[in-house]
Amino acid sequence: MNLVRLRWFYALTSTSNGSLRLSISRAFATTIAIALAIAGSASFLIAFVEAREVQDDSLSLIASIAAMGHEQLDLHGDPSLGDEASQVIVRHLGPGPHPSWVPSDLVHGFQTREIGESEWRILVGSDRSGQAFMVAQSTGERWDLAWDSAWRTIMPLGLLLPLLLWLTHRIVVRKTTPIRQLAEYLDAYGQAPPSRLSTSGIPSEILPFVEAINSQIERINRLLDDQRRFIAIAAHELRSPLTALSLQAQNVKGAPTPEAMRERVEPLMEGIERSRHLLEQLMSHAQAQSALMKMVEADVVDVLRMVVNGRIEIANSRGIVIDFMWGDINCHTRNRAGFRLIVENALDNALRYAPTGGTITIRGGPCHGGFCLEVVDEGPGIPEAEHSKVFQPFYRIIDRNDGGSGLGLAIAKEAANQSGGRIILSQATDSGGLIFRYEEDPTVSV
Amino acid sequence: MRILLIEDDLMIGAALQVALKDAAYSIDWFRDGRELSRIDLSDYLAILLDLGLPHIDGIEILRQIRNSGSKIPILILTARGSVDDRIFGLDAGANDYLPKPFDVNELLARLRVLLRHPDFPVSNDLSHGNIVLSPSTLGVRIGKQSWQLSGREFSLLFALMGRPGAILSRTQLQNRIYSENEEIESNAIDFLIHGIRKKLGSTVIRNIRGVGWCLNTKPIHEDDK
Repeated sequence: MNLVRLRWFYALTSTSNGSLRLSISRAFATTIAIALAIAGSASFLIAFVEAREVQDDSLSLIASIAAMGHEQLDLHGDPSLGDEASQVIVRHLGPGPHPSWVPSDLVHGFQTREIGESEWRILVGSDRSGQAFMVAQSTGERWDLAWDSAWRTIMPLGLLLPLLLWLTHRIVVRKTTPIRQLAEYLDAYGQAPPSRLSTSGIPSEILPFVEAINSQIERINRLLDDQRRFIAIAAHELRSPLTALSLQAQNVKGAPTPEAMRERVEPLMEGIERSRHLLEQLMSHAQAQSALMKMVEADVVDVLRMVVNGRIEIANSRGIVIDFMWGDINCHTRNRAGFRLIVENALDNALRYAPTGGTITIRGGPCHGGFCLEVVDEGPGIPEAEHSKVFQPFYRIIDRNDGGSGLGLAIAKEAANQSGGRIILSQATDSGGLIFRYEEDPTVSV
Repeated sequence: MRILLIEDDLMIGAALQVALKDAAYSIDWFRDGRELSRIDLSDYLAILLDLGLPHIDGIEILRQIRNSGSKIPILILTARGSVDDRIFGLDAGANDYLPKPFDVNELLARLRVLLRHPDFPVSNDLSHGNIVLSPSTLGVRIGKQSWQLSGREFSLLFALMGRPGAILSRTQLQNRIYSENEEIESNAIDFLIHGIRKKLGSTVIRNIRGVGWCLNTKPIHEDDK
């Protein structure tokens, strides 16, 4: 019980670094301590000075009464009786023996002297007959007054300090409870993606932070959803090539003659090639989606040349001419890997749909400070109504069973997004083929 | 033994054609369901149906077939493999459901189940009198003797077995044995019947002149051979 009550105190005195409670408590304690010191000293000083003036005034008054000749005022006091504040000593200083405690070096006017163990304020004056006399009073009262005043000033403030610290603790604990609950809630979520955090009871200063976390959670959940959907579709898409492979392999196994077996190996090889292509495209899609793609700048024409070189043989085998038109101005892409994926998929699509003996034109150059590239084929093109859909993963235009993975344009789009570029599809006016246009903005130099 | 295949994937379709042909089936393959209305389904023993088809979804095709009153066995072959999908497909009127990827031997076994005679739903073998056909081995047994038939021969006997005693014309037999695009010699049926009679004896198949052929309803004794 006591421990619980004293928890705030431990929290206050613990050395944990980032504690809000501790910081506020320390700030309060320091401020109040400084305020106490200043107020106490000021009050003490003022009270002391005032008390001194009052004492001097009263000594002067007594002296002036004594000067009028009221000898009976000689109270024959004795400091040895103590320094009671009330005790005022009036004594003639005429010739003759004086008690030993009377200082011998008194001068006219006010002075402060040690007599015995205490300090005395002494006023020396002279009466009408010119006889000197002294009025003396202990200074003890002055100090007492000053201390009293200082004490009265700091007392209430000093009492306020523990109260403030306790209140700080209570408020901080109460206001941070919802945050602690949020943390526990997040902790308990484990594997499943968390839903929005509740903002009820969250202090307004922390609300923007919680809102930011919420929008982040939503973004991550959306991303996870996309990924999950993609994986589900991908798994589904893998079934067809796998089914074909399994059937083709069993056909080879069940071939009645060696000749039939040789005949049946051909489709099996094609099936393997199709699966390989799909897997490669899945990997490319993952790579294009990854924000971790290394941004390496590269010369556009270098990349184009490399991609085209890898496909010359396929083009030749189908009598397709690849026309390459690029000005002599060097252009740079900021994302070599991404740009390569874009060009590869654009060119593969063109090769897939270009008629035998046709021409594929690759052209481009600098534009709007960046560069643009067009891959134009003489194939059937893509109907305008399909332009927005063909970028969805695994979307295929009906009746174009081309053996493609359905991922090419999705990969190109992801890669374009990563590189800060965009893809625009349109129809070639002369041949009706597809114009695949990629535009990349200039690299923003900081 | 003619099967209708509706499958849009070129590789799967081609491979299925080969595999089913090996098992003595003849296949008509359509890439989608648009031409289905012009086909006489009674020529087919069963339909292998993909669901993810262009133009008309497989489930819709299934409904159309069932709405037309056809009771032809339908086996769904699809990549939609979830339990819900299977229940949905079976409830829509399919006789069986095989998710891709599947083993071709399992497909053939399920096909044999679908082709069982309604009177003997626990055996793949079809029998009439003392003639017993085994679709899994393409074998035929009469009494204690058994023979191995070629795919076409088996197919012809199977067609006659379908409705024992019924007389099938040359065209009907052709439609049940050959696929649509196959070139058929005019005497192909006679040639097959000749082969069967040579193996099993001349009394197995009776010729009704001008009408067609039927299985001999009289019990066949080994002595007849």
